[in-house]
Amino acid sequence: MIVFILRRLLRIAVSLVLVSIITFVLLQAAPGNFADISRLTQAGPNGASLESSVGALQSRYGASVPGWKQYLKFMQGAVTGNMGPSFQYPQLTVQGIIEKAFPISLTLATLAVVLALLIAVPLGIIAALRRNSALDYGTMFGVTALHSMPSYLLAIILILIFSVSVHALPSSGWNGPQNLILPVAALGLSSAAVLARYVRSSMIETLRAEYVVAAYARGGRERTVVVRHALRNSLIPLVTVTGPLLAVLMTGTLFIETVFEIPGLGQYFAGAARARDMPLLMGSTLFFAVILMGMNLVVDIVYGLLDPRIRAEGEWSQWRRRRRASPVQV
Amino acid sequence: MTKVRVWAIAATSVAVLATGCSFGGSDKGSSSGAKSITVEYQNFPILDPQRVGWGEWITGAGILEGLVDLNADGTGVVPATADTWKASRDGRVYTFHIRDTAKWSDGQPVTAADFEWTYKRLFTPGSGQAAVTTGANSYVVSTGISGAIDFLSGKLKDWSKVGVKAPDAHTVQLTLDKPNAGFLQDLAYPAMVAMPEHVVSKHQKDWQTPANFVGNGPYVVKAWNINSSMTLTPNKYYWDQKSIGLKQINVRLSDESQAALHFRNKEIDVGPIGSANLKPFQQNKSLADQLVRMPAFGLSYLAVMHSKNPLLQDQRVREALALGMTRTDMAKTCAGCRPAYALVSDSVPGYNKSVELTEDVAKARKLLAAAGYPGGKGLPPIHIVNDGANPVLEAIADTWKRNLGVTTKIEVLDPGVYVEKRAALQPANYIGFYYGSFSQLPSWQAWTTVLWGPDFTSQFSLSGADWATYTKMAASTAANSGIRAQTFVAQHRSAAATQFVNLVTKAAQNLDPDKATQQFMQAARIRRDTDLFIPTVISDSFWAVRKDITGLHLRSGFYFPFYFKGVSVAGTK
Repeated sequence: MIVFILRRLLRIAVSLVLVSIITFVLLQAAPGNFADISRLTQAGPNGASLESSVGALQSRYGASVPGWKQYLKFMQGAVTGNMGPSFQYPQLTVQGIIEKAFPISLTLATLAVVLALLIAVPLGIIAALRRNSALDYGTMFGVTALHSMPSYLLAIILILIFSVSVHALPSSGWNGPQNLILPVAALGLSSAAVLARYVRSSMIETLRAEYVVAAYARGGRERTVVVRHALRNSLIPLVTVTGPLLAVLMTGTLFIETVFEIPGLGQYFAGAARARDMPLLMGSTLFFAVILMGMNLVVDIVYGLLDPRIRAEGEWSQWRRRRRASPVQV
Repeated sequence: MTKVRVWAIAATSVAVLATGCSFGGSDKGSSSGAKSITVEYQNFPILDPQRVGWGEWITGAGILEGLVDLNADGTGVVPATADTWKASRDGRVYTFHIRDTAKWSDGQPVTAADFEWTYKRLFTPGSGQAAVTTGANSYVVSTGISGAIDFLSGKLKDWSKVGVKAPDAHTVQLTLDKPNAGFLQDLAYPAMVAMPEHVVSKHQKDWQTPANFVGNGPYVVKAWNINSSMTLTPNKYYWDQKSIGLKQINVRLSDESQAALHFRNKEIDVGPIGSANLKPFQQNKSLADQLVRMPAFGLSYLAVMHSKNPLLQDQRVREALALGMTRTDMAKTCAGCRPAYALVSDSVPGYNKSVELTEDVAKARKLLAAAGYPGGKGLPPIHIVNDGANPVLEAIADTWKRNLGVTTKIEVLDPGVYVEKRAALQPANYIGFYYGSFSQLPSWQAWTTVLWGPDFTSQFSLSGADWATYTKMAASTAANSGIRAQTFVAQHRSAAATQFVNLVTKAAQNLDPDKATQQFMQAARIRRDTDLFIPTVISDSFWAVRKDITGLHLRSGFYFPFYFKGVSVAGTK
């Protein structure tokens, strides 16, 4: 297992280097630069020129420093944990921004997943138990409709209902728990739709399993059979979906953070892309990549631990078989 | 409580606690009945009065204070940290007295040395430290403080030769290269506010954080949640305690202003209402009563782009395009807009129609025919580039087509592409204009010297080939390349541009305000006749202001258009 993890970590490292190169090259190729765009978007009414605010960064990223050197300097900083100041926020370091903003995105994502699970699991089970009934069709129609609606559209609908019409909740801002409700709902409802379909199909499959049929045959009550025997096994596939979903939500709250004006990492990321803030864009892209890849690795490990069949059939065993076949230890 | 519920609550609590999520906690929404207000404002990353940007504007609104403030309508100045001043007879030396009661929010006195240090910081080229000014401020040009430009460029190393002196703790003396009729108004610009040397020097990297921030304005920064909100509370050491009318100001920071929604939802008390939301506001009586108009905020224009194709260097074609628009139709496409016939705002005192162009479609057609394009035939499509969709552009295209038979191609570009494209020399198969918007203090000097002032008017009058040479020279890192580039422009600009530059220079030095105004007006007419910049529409700015808020004066030309000083809520204590 350790070798499996090491091998995956190596792959992640290579992927991160590729991600960083692609991001850097695309950023260099993009028209405009930080100083020009700031001049346009931040200039006062006198059209005052904004010189580059990267005075402290001239040695790292100044015009006289070749692109490849800038890249290497950034990567050196990324590896040593000193990515330096952002162009836009020269008083803050890139890692400082991530430390401050990511917990906000993580909170949104975590609460959204919790909400999604709280909705999706009962809905999926009910739909599976009442398969092909009006309840099943109605539930699945509802979740399909929710799933096909982008979260930012759902966000606007929620704002129109709860802020504009009812005046019950703030339409945006980040001042207290009341500001969590609409964004978490917008993220969670869309995600619930995905999860409910998984729970339903997994539950249907489990209900057909012989041990479930046997449990019924032994005279088990439906509630007992479903909760004790079927539910636990049917939720295992959820791990493969929920982990990456959490990662996707953590790194993909960009639209929701923008709509609700939440100072999470997604908002910084979008601002960095607009302003061509190279250190912040590179830093947050790499951070997002680490989160996504790391979460996938965690899911694979957890899935393997939960289900012995995966250990026997999956990449773990391939590695083990290859090791057995080869006399040379790698 | 079932196990499931317990787990759900536990998971939620753990999620919130474990992630260390913290809220801004300053924006409490609309504060009717309390002596606090919530204001929506453009988000900003840096709170430094000497860094051009949105943060600069809010520091000047009541966090830091300069020698003088603008008066209520923005046409003159009133005492601020300086209680008195006098100008020398030749108009070159201004002596200010710092009031005895002026203090920083930590109780330290505000001294003349603070001002000298502040201006030195402003005029010093990038010091190599993060969050420290790079001296980026075109304002320096218009103040005309002796030696400031040379010090900023590094040509002058000796600060004692710059016209900023603090002979004693209460006296600031500013010497100008030449008289500047608008100097006092220029001093009200946010970049000229005082900064606390004892704090900025001590906390070089984090003097902007609320824990360290020290100001001399009526309010101090209590909290700043970047990208979200800011809280201001009264400065107990401010010299004019009577003018502090609020216990707390919550500033809601927003990238894409949704102030209309937030105001309707009673989340804010003051906020800018964009053009798209204006009509619904005006149609609702209750909301319309709370709408305050700031006249002539932004003047939109077309600026000719340099091209290898010399077609638009033909002044007849440019004039035809300028005269061949129907601006009343264009103005109908955007709420709060009026036709703009001049490159000077009609809010400038003494504005008159002599600086305006007169739309004349018949004349425009004749000019186009004389240039070889009767009815627009043979004229390639004219491109208009902008960094956002704008119905005014469609209206321009429509009126040109209808009036002159000219075809237009509108290009909406990403900001990065836009800034690059408008400065680039276009290929031979491309002619066009870029679209922009501009605002400034309501003075003749400001509207003739800034943006479409001597520099731009000279540069835009260059031929495509000369523009290419100039940009190459300006970008060079060789010694004196900047001076060489300026000399090149002076030698190759059009005769009209030279005439404009000379007249503006004379006017700026004229100590007789009436004569100076006449010279600025004449310069504006010369610039108008070059048709290098074509005025399109002028827009008013609208702010929603809760009815019971008093003492809030909107001033044209400032991006944060009011001072917090004097603002209060009626009927509260």
